[in-house]
Amino acid sequence: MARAALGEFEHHVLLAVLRLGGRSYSAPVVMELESTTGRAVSPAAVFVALRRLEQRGYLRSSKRAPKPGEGGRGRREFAVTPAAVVKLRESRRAFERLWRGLDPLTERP
Amino acid sequence: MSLPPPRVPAWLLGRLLPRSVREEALDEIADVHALRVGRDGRRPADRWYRREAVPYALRLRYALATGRLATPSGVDDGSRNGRESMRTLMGDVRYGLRALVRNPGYAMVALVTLALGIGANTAIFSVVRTVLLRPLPFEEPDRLVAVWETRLDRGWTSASFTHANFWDVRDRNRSLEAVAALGWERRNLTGLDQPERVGVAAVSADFFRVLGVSPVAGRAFARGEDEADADTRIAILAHAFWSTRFGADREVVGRQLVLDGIAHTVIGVLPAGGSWLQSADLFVPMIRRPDANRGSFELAVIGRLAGGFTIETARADLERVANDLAAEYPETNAGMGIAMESSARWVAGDSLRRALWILMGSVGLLLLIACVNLANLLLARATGRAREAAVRAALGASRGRLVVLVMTESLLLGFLGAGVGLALAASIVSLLRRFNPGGIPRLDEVAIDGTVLGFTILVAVITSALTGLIPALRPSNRSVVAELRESERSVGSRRLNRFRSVLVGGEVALSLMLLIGAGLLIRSFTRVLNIERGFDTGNRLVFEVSLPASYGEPPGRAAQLLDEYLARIQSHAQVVSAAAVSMRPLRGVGTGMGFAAGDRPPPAGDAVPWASWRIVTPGYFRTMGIPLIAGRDFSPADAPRPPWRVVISQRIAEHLWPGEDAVGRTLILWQGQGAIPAEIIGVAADTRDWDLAGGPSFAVYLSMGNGFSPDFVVQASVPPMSLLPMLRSTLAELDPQLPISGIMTMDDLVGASVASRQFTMLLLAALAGVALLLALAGVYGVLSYSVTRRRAEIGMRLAVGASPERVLGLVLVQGMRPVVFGVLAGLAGAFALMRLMSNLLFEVQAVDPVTYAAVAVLLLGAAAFSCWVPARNAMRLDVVAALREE
Repeated sequence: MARAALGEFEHHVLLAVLRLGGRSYSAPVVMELESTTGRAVSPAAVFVALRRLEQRGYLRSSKRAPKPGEGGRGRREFAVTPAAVVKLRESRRAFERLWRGLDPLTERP
Repeated sequence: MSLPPPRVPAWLLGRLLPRSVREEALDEIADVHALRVGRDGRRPADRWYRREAVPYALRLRYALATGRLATPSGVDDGSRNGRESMRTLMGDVRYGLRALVRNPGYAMVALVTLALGIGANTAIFSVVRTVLLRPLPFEEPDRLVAVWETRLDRGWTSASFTHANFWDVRDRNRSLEAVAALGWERRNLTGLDQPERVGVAAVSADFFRVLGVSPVAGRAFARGEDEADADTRIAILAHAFWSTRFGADREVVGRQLVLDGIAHTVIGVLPAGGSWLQSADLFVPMIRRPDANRGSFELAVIGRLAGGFTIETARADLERVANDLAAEYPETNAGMGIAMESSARWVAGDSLRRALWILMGSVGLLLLIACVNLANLLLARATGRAREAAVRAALGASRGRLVVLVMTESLLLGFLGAGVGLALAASIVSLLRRFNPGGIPRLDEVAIDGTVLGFTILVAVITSALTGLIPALRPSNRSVVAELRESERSVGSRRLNRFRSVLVGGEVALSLMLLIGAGLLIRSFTRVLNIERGFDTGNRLVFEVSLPASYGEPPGRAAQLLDEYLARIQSHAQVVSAAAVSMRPLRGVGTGMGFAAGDRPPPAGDAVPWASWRIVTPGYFRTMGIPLIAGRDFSPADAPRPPWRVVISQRIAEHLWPGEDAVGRTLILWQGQGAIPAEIIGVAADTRDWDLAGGPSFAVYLSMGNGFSPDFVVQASVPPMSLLPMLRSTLAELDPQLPISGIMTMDDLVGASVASRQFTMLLLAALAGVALLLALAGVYGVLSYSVTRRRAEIGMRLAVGASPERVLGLVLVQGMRPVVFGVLAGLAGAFALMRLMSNLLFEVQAVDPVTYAAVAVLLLGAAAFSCWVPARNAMRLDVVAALREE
């Protein structure tokens, strides 16, 4: 299960967590994805993806107590695991190999 | 410090979220909201939250149910069982959806089948509910009655009232709390921007009290405002006229309107809706005149039953009044009776009621066919999936689970079908409303409402439960081993196939009945259209020029104007012929008078024959294409004064003087109502100018008098509508204040007179066509499925030397057997049911052998064709491949 390829959205979520310093709560991931992809992102999709990625060993989570002024019972913080970094590198290399020589065709000035 | 998300959506979200993830999920979306407040501002963030909350909850529920989101361990979840079954249900639904998507052909056929059945049902039910079932929007409508005069000896069961009889009934009855009369006329409305012809209803003062209607502005007529000395120059506006003509301005009360040159003060505005309230643009008081007559039947009368009276007891009271009047005025009232009818019948007369119920029955049959078809489809699928079911059972699935699995799929189909069907019904209803092809009353009130929606869903659920149940119960009573073995050997389950054949037979029978019904209506319709009308319609136009009452002064002014107008039209190069007549043909209502031969004693009072009469100008017969059989047409010398001269229809001549020449003899006009002798100068061919489906009437034509508002008939050498500008400008040269109205080609006039007949026919034909397609799909489906299952057997037959033709015959016989049984059953059913339709038919018997035979042959032929395709496939079977499968 853990060795299955990353879905596009899961890929995006992992990269977003990395861009946020390798560890983050759910909400900043939603905002980060929206601002980098320019598309509306469903918070439910992020909710599910984070937990699936944790199940597959690409994220770890821990709970921390709510800060003063924050509602709720505390937040679950997700951190990227080394396995995820390996997986991301792998797929980036695969993409780069596939892209090699294609740039002139697709990247018209 | 962040702002909390909007309260109501947050609360709702809390209710919708599954308990296992509720806290976390609420916190997370609240965080996103808080970040959005920082980025976009409060309002956009709140808007986002409101939009996103429900989908958020549903997506999470879906993810949990499908296992994409694991239940966090250690979370106390009291609803484990509930969630478990929810997950199973979602799984079943997904399974069903996938199964439908994987078999798009099957899914489409099933969906279309259901949607047609449900859509047609919903649309017709909506109409039936509004027109036949929903009470009229009046106070206590069950106490409202329509009142008619009767003259049973003349065959009149519901005649309009004469003025004098109405006032007497009003004064003498004890059973009606209030009773009122209404007479329609048309008047010229001037003083606004354009002269306009408006419909005016003259009503007695109690009219709105009878209906229990109060004006939305101003007041209604007060008691006594119909007495001879009352001021008659007041008017009440109908709601539609008020809205369109005065922009619903309440200030209109108190304004002056000029009707036929006389100023009337607007005193009130009526509420919208209600059949009577829409029957005119303006309502004016009907004044009681001391010289009111008893010979002219022209008033519609309605009443409200007094407390304690039923229609039956009130009828006895009114009969007493009628008998008294007959004794007092034997000359005019002999044989008079009074009939009453509940207000439930006001909206739809008997023939429309019957037509609607027949349509309702037909769509019911169609839905039944759709269900049978669907059951057949699901059965075929169940057979195909018997093996899958057997494997599931072998792996431990309970019988209940298997039933639920199959039921889910058919319920899914049912709901999808209901959705599509509802959309279909909405578009049918909006089409009906836009075109109102059959002149159906109250159609503007028809809408898909909550009740109809409930009805649809009920139909969908029952349909799918019924169809789902049959295949769903099947796997349960068979042993797994038998099922596995049987599907492997492709022999096909005989019992099931026989059951499917019975279903096909049933489908064929039902659709044959619908086809016969449609066939009978089509034959009636063509008979009505092709019947000898007695007049021509091609290139002819009718229109109305109405002269206000003020044209009566000085005497002769109106006649002079009409003569001048007619002369100018006739001189136009493209006009072949033109004439005027007091009432255009096919109006559906008419005039009447008793008549008798002048050269023999008149028959006793009761047996006086009755004729319609029209006043015409010279040239009317030529313009209408009515042949003159004897004598001559009117000439300008036949002025409308004694000695009277008339042209009579052939039927009168044959009735009074069979085998003799009628020209030159004397006819007594208005026999029993004044008895005026007239000289017969001509005999014209019979026409059906009341109603095409009625027989040709006795008709008397009189020479044109003045003071009438005539219809003009123009025969043109070009498409007649192109003459309109000329007709308008010619009239304007004579008097720019006079409007032209009621413009129609004669062809359209004929079309309009058969519109409701045509509507019923087209609708039933469409239903029958759909039913036929469904039945053929059933025939084809069952046979082609059976051929597929019997490939090995057929291959074996071919291999051992059966000729392909023999195989073809074998398969054809197998396919046609249920069809033949269905046709026989359908003929028997039609024979029993079609009597219900007999009063919608015209010159066609309900058991018309030609229609029955033609429809049966058509159906057999079409079914044979749909059998032929699978049969040909069987004949061309690749023997080697088929046997290898074995």
